[in-house]
Amino acid sequence: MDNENKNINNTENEDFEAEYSEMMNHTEYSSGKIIDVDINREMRKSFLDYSMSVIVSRALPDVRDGLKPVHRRILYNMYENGITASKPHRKCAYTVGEVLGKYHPHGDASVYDAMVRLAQDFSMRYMLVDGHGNFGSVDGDPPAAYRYTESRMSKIASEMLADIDKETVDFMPTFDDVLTEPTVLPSRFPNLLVNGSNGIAVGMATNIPPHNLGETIDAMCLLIDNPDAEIADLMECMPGPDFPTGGLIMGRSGIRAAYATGRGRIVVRAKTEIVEAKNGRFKIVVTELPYSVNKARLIENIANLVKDKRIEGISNIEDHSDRNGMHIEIDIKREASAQVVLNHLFMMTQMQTTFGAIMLSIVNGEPKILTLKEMLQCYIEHQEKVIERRTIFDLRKAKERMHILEGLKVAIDFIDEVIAIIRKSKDQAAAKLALCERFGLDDVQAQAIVSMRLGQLTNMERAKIEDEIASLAEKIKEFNEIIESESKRLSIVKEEAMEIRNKYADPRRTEICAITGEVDIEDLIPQEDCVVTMTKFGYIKRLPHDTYKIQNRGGRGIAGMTRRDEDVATEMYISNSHDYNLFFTNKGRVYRIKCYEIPESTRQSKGINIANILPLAADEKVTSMIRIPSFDDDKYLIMVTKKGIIKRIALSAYDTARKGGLIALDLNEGDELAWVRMTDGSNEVIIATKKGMAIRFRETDVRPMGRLARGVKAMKLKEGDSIVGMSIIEKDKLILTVSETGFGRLSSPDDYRLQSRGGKGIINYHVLKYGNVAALTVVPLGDDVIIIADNGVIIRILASTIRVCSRPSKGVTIMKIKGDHKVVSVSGAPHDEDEAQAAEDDENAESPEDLVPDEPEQDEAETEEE
Amino acid sequence: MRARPRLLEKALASAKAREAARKARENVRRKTGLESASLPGKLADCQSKDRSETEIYIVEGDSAGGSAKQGRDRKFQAILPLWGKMLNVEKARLDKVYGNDKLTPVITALGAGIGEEFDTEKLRYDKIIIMADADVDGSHIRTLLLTFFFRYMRPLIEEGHVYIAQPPLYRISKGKDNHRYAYTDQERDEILASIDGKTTVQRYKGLGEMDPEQLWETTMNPETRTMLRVELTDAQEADETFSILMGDQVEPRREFIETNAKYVQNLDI
Repeated sequence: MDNENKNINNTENEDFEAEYSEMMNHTEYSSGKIIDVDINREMRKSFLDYSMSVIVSRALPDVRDGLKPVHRRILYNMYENGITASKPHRKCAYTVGEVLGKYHPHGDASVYDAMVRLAQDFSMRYMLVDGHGNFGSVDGDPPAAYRYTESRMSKIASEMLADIDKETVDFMPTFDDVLTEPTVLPSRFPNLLVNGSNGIAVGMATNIPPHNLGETIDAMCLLIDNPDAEIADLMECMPGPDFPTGGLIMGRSGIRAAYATGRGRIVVRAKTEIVEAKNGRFKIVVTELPYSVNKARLIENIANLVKDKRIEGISNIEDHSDRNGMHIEIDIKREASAQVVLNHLFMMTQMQTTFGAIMLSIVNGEPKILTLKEMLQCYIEHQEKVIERRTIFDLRKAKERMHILEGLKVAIDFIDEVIAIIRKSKDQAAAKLALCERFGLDDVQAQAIVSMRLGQLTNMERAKIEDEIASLAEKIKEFNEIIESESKRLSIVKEEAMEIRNKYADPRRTEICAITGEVDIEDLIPQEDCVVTMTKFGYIKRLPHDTYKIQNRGGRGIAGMTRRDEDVATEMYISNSHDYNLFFTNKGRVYRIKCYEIPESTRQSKGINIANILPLAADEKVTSMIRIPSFDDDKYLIMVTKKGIIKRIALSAYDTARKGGLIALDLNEGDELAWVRMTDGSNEVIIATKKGMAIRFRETDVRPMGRLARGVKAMKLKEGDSIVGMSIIEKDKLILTVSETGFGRLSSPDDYRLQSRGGKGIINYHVLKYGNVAALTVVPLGDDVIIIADNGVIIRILASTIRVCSRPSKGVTIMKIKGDHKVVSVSGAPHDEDEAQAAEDDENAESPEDLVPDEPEQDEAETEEE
Repeated sequence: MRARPRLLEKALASAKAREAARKARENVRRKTGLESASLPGKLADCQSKDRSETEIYIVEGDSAGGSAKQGRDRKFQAILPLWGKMLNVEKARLDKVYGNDKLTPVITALGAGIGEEFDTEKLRYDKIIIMADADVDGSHIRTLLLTFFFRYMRPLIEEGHVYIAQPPLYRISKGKDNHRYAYTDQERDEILASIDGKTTVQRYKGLGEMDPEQLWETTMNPETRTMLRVELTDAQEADETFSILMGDQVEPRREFIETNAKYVQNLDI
């Protein structure tokens, strides 16, 4: 795309150049003419006129004074009309009208808006307009109309215009050629960096953050003293932006990028404090917000997140801001962690923003992205020029004065003769002429002599003139030295900048947090193993891994969830908090989130509905969760539906950040996606049915398909049968079959011979005798098995405590099932070392020795559950 | 049904487009007498129904629309004022274009439909004249309107119906009743050189600065006016230009500006 356009531009260029000037020159405007013009040329010409005008004279600031034309015109007009800091305020309407009429032939709103911004203490680091009245607020309230508000230049604004009368800058005619206006202001402090700027032109935009005046002047002085200073040296003086609204900058790498290359992303955070309230609960108090964040909108935003349950743990939010400053209180629920809530707020709201710095400004009439050093250099150069031109002006004035004084001195030296000549003359003109002739004076000097008062003839006055001549000569000498020496000028620039620093510099407001390297919200979240569980009704929660304690076989288990009566946990696995988790739904869609995005909760809580996290449709349920440490190319996913359809697909097909989810597979009417497993391309799968059949085949029997494909048949199902489990066969792992009645058996994979996909399979379990198969899964002996019954009871035992016996025997009692309850979920988890404590906790546990004996099948006939 | 949402979207969008075009067309058919209420309220239509001689001025801003209405020849000149900057159709989605409140009056006033349904036979005027201020914002509005015509009413340009009015840049007057207009800086200098004595030069920033009579005399009178007729010589080249200048890719646009910056003529400072 880029290449193509480049070509277009290049080949067209000469062509365009020629025709452009031709078109503009030979169009003769006589009478009633129609001139043909090609649309292509007309578009290019009009667009160029518009875009270049916006770029160089509307939206972007000049590197020297940091002002856009409208700002410059406002300040110059106020200066011209003497609305300075020492004079009373005047109506904004007066200035707006003057600016429009004299300099800025555009909309009145554009002028007033620009003026208002200059007066806002939350927009400008150092305000250039001193406003009186309502100039808007951080809540986004609009300012009062310009007929109400009053303003004058601020003190520091006078430094922008100081020396402008000494021919220090160029002037140009205004739009109507009636007046002249400055093309740039002397800007005796580095306004571009100090107040920053932002603007959108055509094809480019600028966003320069504000800085601290003292720091910026220090950096500038450093650069004057050492022109070879590097960014790192400058950053010693000037560590980073300083926003008028305070806040915290997270890390220095974004700042460094902005200063070194002209572009960088700077993360800014609200200033917050977690305090304990009287009732023992905690609250978050926000006292500063990131630059240009609208407070009212932020609070509304947080309230909406709480209402939609996207942020948990906030019970109330109140804005107590007043004339003493900003104060937002966010009350934290008793069970929630204030730190976790705060992290979520930073992640999800404008309490943390990214300032995308683009250091673009107009340099010599052209837009340029500059580094910090180049910006300071441009400014120093400008100041040096201002000093040079001011000195030239002063020198001229001094010379003129000297010239007059020399004339006066002659008059006083020859006072009697002068008086005689004047008395003899017919009129002033004749007197001047005679004086010129006699003493070799010129008209200016002669005029000064004839204008002398008699009082000036005293001896005292004579001495005064001589003194003045002496001191003027001294000054002229100095001025000449300044004009000749660049280093002298630079030291004056430095000296005068330091004066301004002493007068106006103030402490930094934005804190820069010394976090080295990129700051990522993820870094704040500990890497830990979590147990993620989800219930039949879609309540999901995340627990620290150690919350589930190991128990021995036959134990009653600890209550895993307090839940709605009929709700049961159906999914559970262990995941690192930073892993991606894929959620597959019965509708065949897949969603992706990071594990830590699932709210952490306590063992007793029911968790939150998955619908708060994923944008699920009304009758859509998550049936399978899978954790993905990374989206490797050689990994596959195998999906199996309840009706026995299987599909294999490359894992990378799901590496997408789409929040709305993706279609995982195309389902037949009435079928549901129920199992998804990750494979490495050479695995074998085992699939079991409710009615006791099982089949094992190679995954390569299923060719990889695209995301929207429907899949192929996994096995032949008898009428009324359905799939209850699918697993990947792994070396050193055994196949666990658990019945709905709580019996379980481990079998070697060798027990299941390899078949081809699509057959009826082999008998896995005698369901008529012992009950339907609840689940089949593959576990290593060293792992724990977590079994969940539909009454919410969870049991966790070491897999090796379950007896290994051959298919299709019944196995041992793993969980004592009472009444009509059923085993609903079986999953493996890495073994927990903390066995001793767990054994202590569980008094009912049988001794480990009891678990291994080779029990005859009839022993279990006594179990009451059947 | 559930499988091909994109196809459905496409089908729906084009159905929408056809519907909009049909409506636009219908709005114009019922044109006579009191029923012409369906024409945009701001349109000051002309008396003549003979398409070969009629013209419509699309004027930037209400402040200029007024003087254009008063200054026109109502027999064959219609005025349609547009206020503010209109939609950039190159960047906007199709349904946004059809529902846009700045574009609808233009579609209805021209009466020839839009997009695939566009039919120059149904055009209500022979000359479509874009009259914008002689400043850079006028340039911008011109590019926006041309983009719209090019993308949605291309036959209009192919058949040479689109014109650009050329208002003067300067009014040079000497004494009370003696004045001349200059359309370029060069012309102004020539005129100034040819006149002795005290002259005043008025620089026009907007059409609203002109009296209706002045506007007629300088820009609208077929006897004296100058107009540019927009023609399409190379559709493919134009297509590329439009996507570079008005499209959603910033990079090519910046490149264009950078390579051509030196040819800029009218810089508004």
